[in-house]
Amino acid sequence: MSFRLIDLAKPFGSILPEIEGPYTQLNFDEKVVYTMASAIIYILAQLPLAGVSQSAFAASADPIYWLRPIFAAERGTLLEFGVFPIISTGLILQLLASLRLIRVNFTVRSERELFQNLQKIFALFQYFALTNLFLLSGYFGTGLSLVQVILINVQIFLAGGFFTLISEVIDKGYGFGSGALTFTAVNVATNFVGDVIGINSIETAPEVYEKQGALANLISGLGSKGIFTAIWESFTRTHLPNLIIVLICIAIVLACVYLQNLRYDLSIRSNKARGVSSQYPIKLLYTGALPLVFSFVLLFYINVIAYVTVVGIFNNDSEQLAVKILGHYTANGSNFSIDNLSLFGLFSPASSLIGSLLSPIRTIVFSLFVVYTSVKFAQVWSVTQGSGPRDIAAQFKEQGVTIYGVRDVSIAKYLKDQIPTAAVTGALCLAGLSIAGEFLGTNGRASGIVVAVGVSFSFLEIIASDYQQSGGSQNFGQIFGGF
Amino acid sequence: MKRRANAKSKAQSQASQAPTSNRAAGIEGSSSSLLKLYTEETQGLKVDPLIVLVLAVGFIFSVIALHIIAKLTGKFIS
Repeated sequence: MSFRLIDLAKPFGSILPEIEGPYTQLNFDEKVVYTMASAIIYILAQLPLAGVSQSAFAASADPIYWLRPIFAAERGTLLEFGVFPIISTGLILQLLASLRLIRVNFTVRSERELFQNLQKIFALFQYFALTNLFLLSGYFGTGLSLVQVILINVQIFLAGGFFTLISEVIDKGYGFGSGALTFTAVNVATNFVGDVIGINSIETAPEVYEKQGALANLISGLGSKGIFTAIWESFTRTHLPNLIIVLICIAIVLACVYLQNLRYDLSIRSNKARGVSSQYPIKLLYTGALPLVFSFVLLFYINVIAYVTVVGIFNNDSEQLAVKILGHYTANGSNFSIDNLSLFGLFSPASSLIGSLLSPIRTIVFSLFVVYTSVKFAQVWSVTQGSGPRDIAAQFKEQGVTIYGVRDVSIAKYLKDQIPTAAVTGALCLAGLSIAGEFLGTNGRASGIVVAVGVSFSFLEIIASDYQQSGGSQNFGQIFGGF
Repeated sequence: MKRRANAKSKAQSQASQAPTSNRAAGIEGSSSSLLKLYTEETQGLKVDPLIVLVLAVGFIFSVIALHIIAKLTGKFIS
């Protein structure tokens, strides 16, 4: 018997913590409480890392700032890498399994268990690996003592472990839908509120304090600076979110909501009863926002490799040939980005509209990369995750349903034309929306919002069906069911 | 010979029809629009979800305590 990747998980089987599944189906209220509790804990954990000296940390800059929103990561906190390790392991391992590059027999229970343990181990391993790669590259400051190194490792790893388990709590049916994506949605939502009306002051230049929220900044400016300066500054400031970015974000939310509602209705009829017909919707966003998340997972890896090689190995020394080819990081406030034309520079968006216009090659390569990976992912994911053409055809057959004008035997073939097309078109639309946002300089917020809205709509579907089942007798159900 | 070839092609078609994910095998798992990682009951160290949530809060408070200790003693900060 040859070596299989899932066998790696065997020795850990009995020591990995594991959430006990619910004995009975939880009711709606309990699910809401669990989901809210998890979300509140996630927000509480946005706490600065102990043991990192703030002065040393302020001197280093953030190379993955535009990748943070989509993975709910906050710089310098326990959530330094957010849920990236969890999401990336899940997406990549499940994709490899569905391409049969990892051999897992999903009909056998023990193999599914091994596969799940493998995902957990990989997620934890990535927290550990990322922390230490960043430590070695001097992200947390240079000349750290051993105690500091251990403290940072322990904090990020434990926080990662806890959120792996909490996402398991939600996955297991204590909450709605997917754990890791819940955290992204919550984080994007809170950050967006902060960007609009956040009243905390941030030091943008020595002795200059500005409000974090764009609207809060405008209002406080109206009192102290005079109307025209205040309005001009609130639209044009660059270090903190300005009103233009807020407006772009709102436009993207609306566009996402519009795309979510597009669908293609198949007319279906019953084989058994005459004259009974109905619609079977095939959504345009058949794979939701997952293709975009996948593109960003790949971009995250590329940018971590870039940071570690350029800063960690070559010390970001612009004289060296390797740095000239691979890219030279320049600090812009607390953002660290490669702005010259170079290999790694092509895989990040420019930080402003002017930047995108001035470096067309970078913009084009970045866009093509996102579009290509999204589309490829959607093609595979839409047919392999249990709601592909063959699965739905089998479902129709079981329920005695056929599509108008299509013979029973060719339903699978007919759906094979429809579903991947819808999925690919949907992925293309979301990729386009995200690229447009990055082009305008939203620094990852646009992509975060696209994912958050996509996830929220998936939740809404689950909540709506849960609500119908529970009959609206629950307290929270009555609040949410009103929509 | 023919029988062997038949058996081989049958095995191949079975392999190509084997489920490619949890959901394709008819069990809870990632759907086409949501990613789920941990849906299977395994034989690990069983923990109650409430305990995990409480421990997580405890962990957060211990980090806050660490901050306070660091402030008071001036240790861990260079």
